[in-house]
Amino acid sequence: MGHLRLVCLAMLMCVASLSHAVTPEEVLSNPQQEARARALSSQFRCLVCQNESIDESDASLAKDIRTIIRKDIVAGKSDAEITRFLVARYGDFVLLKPPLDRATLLLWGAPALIVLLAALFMWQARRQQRGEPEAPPLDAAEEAALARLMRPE
Amino acid sequence: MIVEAGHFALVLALALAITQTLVPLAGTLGGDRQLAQAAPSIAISQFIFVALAYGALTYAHVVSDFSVRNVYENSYSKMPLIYKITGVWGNHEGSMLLWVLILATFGAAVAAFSRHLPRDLRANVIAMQGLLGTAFLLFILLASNPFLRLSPAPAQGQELNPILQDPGLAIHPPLLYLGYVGFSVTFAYAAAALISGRIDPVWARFVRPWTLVAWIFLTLGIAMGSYWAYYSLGWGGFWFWDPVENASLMPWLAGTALLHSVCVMEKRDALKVWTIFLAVLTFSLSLLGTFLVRSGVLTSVHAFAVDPRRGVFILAILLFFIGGSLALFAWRASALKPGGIFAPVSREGGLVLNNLLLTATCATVVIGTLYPLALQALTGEKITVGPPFFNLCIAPFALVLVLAMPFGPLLAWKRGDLLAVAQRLMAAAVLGLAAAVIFAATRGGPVIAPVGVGLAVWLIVGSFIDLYERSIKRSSGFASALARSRGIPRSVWGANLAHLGFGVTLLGLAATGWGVERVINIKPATTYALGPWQVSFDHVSKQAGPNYRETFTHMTVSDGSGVVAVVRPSIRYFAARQMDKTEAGIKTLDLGQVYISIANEKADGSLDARLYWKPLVSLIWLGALVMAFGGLLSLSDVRLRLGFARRAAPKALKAAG
Amino acid sequence: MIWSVLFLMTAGALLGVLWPFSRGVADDPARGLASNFYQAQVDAIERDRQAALIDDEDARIARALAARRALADAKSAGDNAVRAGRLRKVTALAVAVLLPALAFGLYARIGTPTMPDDPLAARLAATGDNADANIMIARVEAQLKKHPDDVRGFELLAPIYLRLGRVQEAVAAYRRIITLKGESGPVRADYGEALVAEANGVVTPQALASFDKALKLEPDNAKARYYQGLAAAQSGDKARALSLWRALVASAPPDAGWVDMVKARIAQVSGQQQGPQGGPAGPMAAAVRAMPPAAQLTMIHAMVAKLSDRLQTQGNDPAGWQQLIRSLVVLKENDKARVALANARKALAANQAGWSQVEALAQNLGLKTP
Repeated sequence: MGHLRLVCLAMLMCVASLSHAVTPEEVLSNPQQEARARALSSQFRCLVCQNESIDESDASLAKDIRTIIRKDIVAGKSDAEITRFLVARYGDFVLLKPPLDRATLLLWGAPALIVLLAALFMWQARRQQRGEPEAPPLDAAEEAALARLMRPE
Repeated sequence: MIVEAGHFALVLALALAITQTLVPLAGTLGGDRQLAQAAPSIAISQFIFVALAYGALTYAHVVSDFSVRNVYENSYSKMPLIYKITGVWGNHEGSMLLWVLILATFGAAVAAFSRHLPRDLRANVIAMQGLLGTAFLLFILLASNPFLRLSPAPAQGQELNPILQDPGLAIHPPLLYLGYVGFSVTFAYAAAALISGRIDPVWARFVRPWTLVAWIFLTLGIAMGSYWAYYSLGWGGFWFWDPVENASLMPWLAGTALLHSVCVMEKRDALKVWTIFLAVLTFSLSLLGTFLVRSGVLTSVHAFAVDPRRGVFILAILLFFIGGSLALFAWRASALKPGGIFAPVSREGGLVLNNLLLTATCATVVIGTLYPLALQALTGEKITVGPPFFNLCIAPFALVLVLAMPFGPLLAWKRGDLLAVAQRLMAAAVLGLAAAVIFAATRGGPVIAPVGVGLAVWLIVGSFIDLYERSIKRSSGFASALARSRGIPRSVWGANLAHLGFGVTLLGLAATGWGVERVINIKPATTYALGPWQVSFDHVSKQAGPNYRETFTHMTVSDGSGVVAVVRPSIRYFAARQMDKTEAGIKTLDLGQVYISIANEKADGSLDARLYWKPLVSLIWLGALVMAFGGLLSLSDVRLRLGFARRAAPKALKAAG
Repeated sequence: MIWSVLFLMTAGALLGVLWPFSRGVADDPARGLASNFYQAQVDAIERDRQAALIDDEDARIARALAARRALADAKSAGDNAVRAGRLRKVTALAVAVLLPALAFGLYARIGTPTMPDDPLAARLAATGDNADANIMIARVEAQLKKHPDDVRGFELLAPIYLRLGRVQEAVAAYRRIITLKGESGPVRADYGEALVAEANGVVTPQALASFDKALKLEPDNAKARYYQGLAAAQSGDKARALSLWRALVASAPPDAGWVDMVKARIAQVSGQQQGPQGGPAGPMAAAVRAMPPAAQLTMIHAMVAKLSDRLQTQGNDPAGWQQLIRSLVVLKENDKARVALANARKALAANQAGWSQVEALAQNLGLKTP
């Protein structure tokens, strides 16, 4: 687990000396704006890493995007505007939560579809099961056979 | 010669695995008892030869025999001995050999510990294990051979990535593999049952301990991996919905459902289709996980296309076993008639709901993990499915699951009284609600945190209610309560403990909402506030390690009255690879942790630092330990009765019908 | 020797399969199982009944169902009679023939039975001239572990480490030499150079201090003077760099091999471009030449590693292999070159023409064909 992140980390470390994902210089002085920036950053992926958000990534590209986000927040842009800008620039690939469109219909529909299918399957199974008789008590022959079976040898 | 003998042992193991598949099957299908009876001996022989091969490879690593390509590529003569040994599975070929070693070990364990099994079932199970061994030994020998040689031998190996030289990472793969491969046994049992057509409570009884063993290891393996990521990545993240993590979570979800399903089948002869389906599914997901991690398909679909040999091989194995078991499944559908009938509201019904929710969660993880790969392969379109997707889609399932969990153990078999159970759970509900309200009022934070705490309390208290009612409530004094609690079967203790452990983990997860984070530039001889603590950065010191230089920062953590802990986060600089690695300073205080990591030493002596206070965070992994311990308790119960050592007493007669 | 071991192993494997054939048939546990399991189920049902998890009527039904299952199991367990004989004999024969055939057949294709183990310790202990440079290094290293005060060993290794890019070890070795032997101009200069290499070609304050010390001890140490100039150039003081270097060239003995390098440096810093003189070509070349020498070395190592990686996956590339082998020989990494040659042979197994080109190059470079 996390091996890929590791490889990613290792590769990045070779290129750049280790810097923390978010460095103190990047942090905005207004805590509310900073919190918004952090929340927003966790929605975008680092384009050169495996499954890391830009909030977690050490790559310089991630840092650039973080800086863009913070500048835009300070400039008074809304989250939606910033997201639109980044998607226009890097494509849907940058979004960690893919948008709902034709290509992802199946993805977003999957959980509901699975529950529906399973419920259908179980309803079917129940219908078949209904009407099955309850077990009658053992008859004499069975009792005798059981007694023979259970007799200590 | 040792190396070549090891290579030959691996070839012999393949020959034995093929024998292990064919001879017992010939025995059971051809009606020859003696052939069927040979199965255990063959399985143990196969294990011995795989172990010999593994030992030979380990030997080559330990003595730095660089004429073995695998050693040359992954070992370094100056590494500490322990990492030479763990380095054997720190690479593709070696880890596949470990996979097969564990498979053979389970095969031998089945052979050794199943004397009470009906002979044909035993022979068929061992044959199925042999078939799995055949497939993977073929893969190793033909596509991933660790015994290939180099001539002339280089004088030094390629240094192992320093990040891989970590005790946590060293133990993690074997634990995870024990879990993954442990489910091969349940798979083999399912396939054997389908072949013989005997799918009944006796079968379930024998499957249950193996399911438990695999589940315990997988639980520990996942927790271990998560803790490793937590302390090594430098900012305290512990779960990322990374495909490699998902690969281990998928079989865990299916395996957990299987665990519950097997109990129903053993007791009530019900949920047969579910149980067989889950047994096949769980191991298939283990195989899928192996494919995802080992084929390189995750790194990039493109890279996979360039050198697809290994990936395609594992994919073929995967398809063969899934397809084969599905075909068997269809062939034996008639033998899977439901046995004991039950009302929707009943213990059985609750467990069906459990299976449904866990399977749906599992399917969501599978689809979320594979969707980007499939989409890219089919249309070339690239999308990302990351944590926000998984959190959003899985939350509803998890919510229903947690709400329903305390009900399960209290519901009666066949038909239950939901209202009565709800009344018994009133205390848990009240306490949970109170906890949520109190925390929301006093701590604030994101809404999810107090809600999570409330749910966790509901689950933890709810898990105690069954035990409480069975022991203390019915007793007059301490002595009789103790006697009664001794009388409770260990499997009941185990089940409730496992549920409780899940609640404990949930509590740890919920508390992350109240974490404190400070990303600041710190200067020596300065004090910084961190949640309830004062962290003072005293000074920096340097030290040379075996193959790195280390810069330590000395920090003391104090509360209002005095120093409570010393933390020494550091940066290690590996000059040979020009690589920095941060070593976080972690100190557990009151179940929470102070977590500090540093980077970027500046000319003026200041450093970039991340300071965290993570309240109750250790509960995340303690909960997993509790779950595993619950499993262990349950296992000890099952094992006591597995042998059916005592013969039936005559009193049984009057109990019948 | 090896063959007798392999035969013994095969015999062991056969024993594991065939031994149970010779033993009598044990009772199938299935029959006893039916009654025992029934008992266990009845006990469990009773416990559930007491815990109010099942009512009395349902408990009766459950017991009846369990009883019928137990009876059916006991009946079927008695069914399968022994049908011994032919099948067993045929199977035993097939195993005895096919198992060794498969094992030896497959091993003959993929194994290397004639190749002995080659542990590092044994190679270090072995005497003779056939050991390559890296083995010699390892031998000296082992010697130094035993006698850590042997300054000659460190003097031997330090420059080799630096050339092989094992920079950190070079720094440590020079530091050790200074401790053991005391200060001297050349050692201080070499130590400074190693520090520069460690810092990717940047003359750090620490390195500069070492060069200053070297010049205090030996005022005309050429290496220290060169790096003083480089430090000036890196800090942007071109004028000082040029004056230092020009003075260095002026005072150089006529046969000094490094004069051309310093002249090239002067030309580069003063802005006149010189034509390419070997080294990497193409758009990267200018960038590489602009780097300090230690960084160039690192860069070249990186490029070689990249090429080597590419050839691992796309091996049918005779020109690539030739480039790799030539580079490795230039870098004096002859044993890596030999490994590359061996790999090339495997990768070009289907490309005989390509292989002969590579082979010819190897002979020209004095590498023996494996």
